[in-house]
Amino acid sequence: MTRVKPLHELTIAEAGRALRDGTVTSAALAEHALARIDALDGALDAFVLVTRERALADAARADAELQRGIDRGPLHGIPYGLKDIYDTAGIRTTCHSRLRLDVVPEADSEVAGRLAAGRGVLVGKLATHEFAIGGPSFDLPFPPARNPWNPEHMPGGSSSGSGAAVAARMLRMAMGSDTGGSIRGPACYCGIVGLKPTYGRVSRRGVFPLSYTLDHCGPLTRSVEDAALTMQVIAGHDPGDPMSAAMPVPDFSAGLGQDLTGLTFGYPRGFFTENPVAAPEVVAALDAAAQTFARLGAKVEQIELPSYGLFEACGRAILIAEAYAIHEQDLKTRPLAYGRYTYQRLAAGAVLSAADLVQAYRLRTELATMLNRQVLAQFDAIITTTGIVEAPRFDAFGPDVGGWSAMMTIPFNVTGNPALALPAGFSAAGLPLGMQIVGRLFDEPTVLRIGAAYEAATDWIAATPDLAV
Amino acid sequence: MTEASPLQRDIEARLAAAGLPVPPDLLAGLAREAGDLLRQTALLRGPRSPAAEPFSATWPVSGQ
Repeated sequence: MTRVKPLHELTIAEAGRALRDGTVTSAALAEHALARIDALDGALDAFVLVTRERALADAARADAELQRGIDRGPLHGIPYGLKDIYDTAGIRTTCHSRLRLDVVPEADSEVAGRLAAGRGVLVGKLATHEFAIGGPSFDLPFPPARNPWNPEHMPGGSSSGSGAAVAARMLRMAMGSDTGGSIRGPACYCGIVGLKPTYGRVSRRGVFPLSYTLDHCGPLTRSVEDAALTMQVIAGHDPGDPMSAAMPVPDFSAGLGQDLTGLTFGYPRGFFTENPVAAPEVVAALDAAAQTFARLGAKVEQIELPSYGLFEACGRAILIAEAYAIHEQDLKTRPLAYGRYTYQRLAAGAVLSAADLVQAYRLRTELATMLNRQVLAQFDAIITTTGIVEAPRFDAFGPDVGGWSAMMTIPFNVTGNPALALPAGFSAAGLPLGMQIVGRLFDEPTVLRIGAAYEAATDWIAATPDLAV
Repeated sequence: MTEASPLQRDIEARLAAAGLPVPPDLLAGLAREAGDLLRQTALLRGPRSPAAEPFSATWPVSGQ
């Protein structure tokens, strides 16, 4: 007997097939998503705004077009959410901050516009760490999102609501942003897939900036295939983002289903094992992943990279200096309008000198050149961990902002390479652990191919959090 | 009364030079964060060979 999947278990690919063969409507998907949000979000706080009327109108339009034979691509009729730093025309965009509670943009961000043109169904705006920095704070106008695997734990950040909503099956796709790991961190802690594309691949126009030269936009999804389908809609040159790359858009799904024979991976094990905080179960999960890749036909070779601390110092100095420049006026005139963590993170930028920033830019060039012209000239991809511990509990955070990060993600913001985060197992406490696949610049198709092969071999994505409905 | 460390005095001087009026309740946490940041920036000034100088390279390095 074939078990019929409940609607919320359908991936984008599966829901897309059902929409096109007429066995489901976009209206049904939207209503199901809204009902699930009603049932679950009171405990998870993933949404800062549910756009119910907009969702139903988008869905009706998507259904009407499909009935007329008009198909606008892989997200046609699919419900999705946006981190609440993406401008949405006529819909409040708060950055989860009391500084922006009344901001209603006149125009869509480029990504929101592309998703609307692709007939996606906007279901809501999602929680974030304030201005995509800070931490899981309780002194903001909205509560922090919680981890569906255990609501006493954080879901990662800063795209916290995006991670929680996808992991809880309230959405199949949510957009996040990633400046030091803010897509890949929530993907890791929530047991889902997150793709930070190559710098310049997806437009940031209309997305509130954190760091002009480190910000990336990308999707969080339940499967690698769904990430590829989303990229097909959102990627492409935008003259409105000065750093948008005028590169051809590939078929992101082209490599899905191919085996890994002939590919070679660098495995910089010391990159994370040298960190005394790295949990043994994270190291074991990565070693097991490396063995899986070898079983799948890839050649896996241990390599050494420059110390993680060098990448982190470089990325952190750039991030904080650029973020301080963006927020300087408000930090000086309205300091108490910020959450405590956000203020302390951002205001620290005041102590950096111009020379610090220039030294960081010089080092970035050196690190990016080393990674791309040496390491990735020899290897098709690098495999490494995403986080070094399981998702922390909320009560591990003190009144003032704490340590920098338990993520190993910022190196690839520094270098601009595409990095795919995906589940790699579970901790003894039943919380997700994750890995990263890092590829050559603008070679997302290979990264997605590798991720899909690993996903099919391990099936970690089939695990679901134990929720009330 | 505890005397401020040289690092603490340096941070407070830098904040003042930047013209940032810090609410007293937020200062201790900010100073810790800034101190950690400054310790890390020391790593940015490591030795570099002429070959590693970036002026002849571009970033991001496009195409492979």
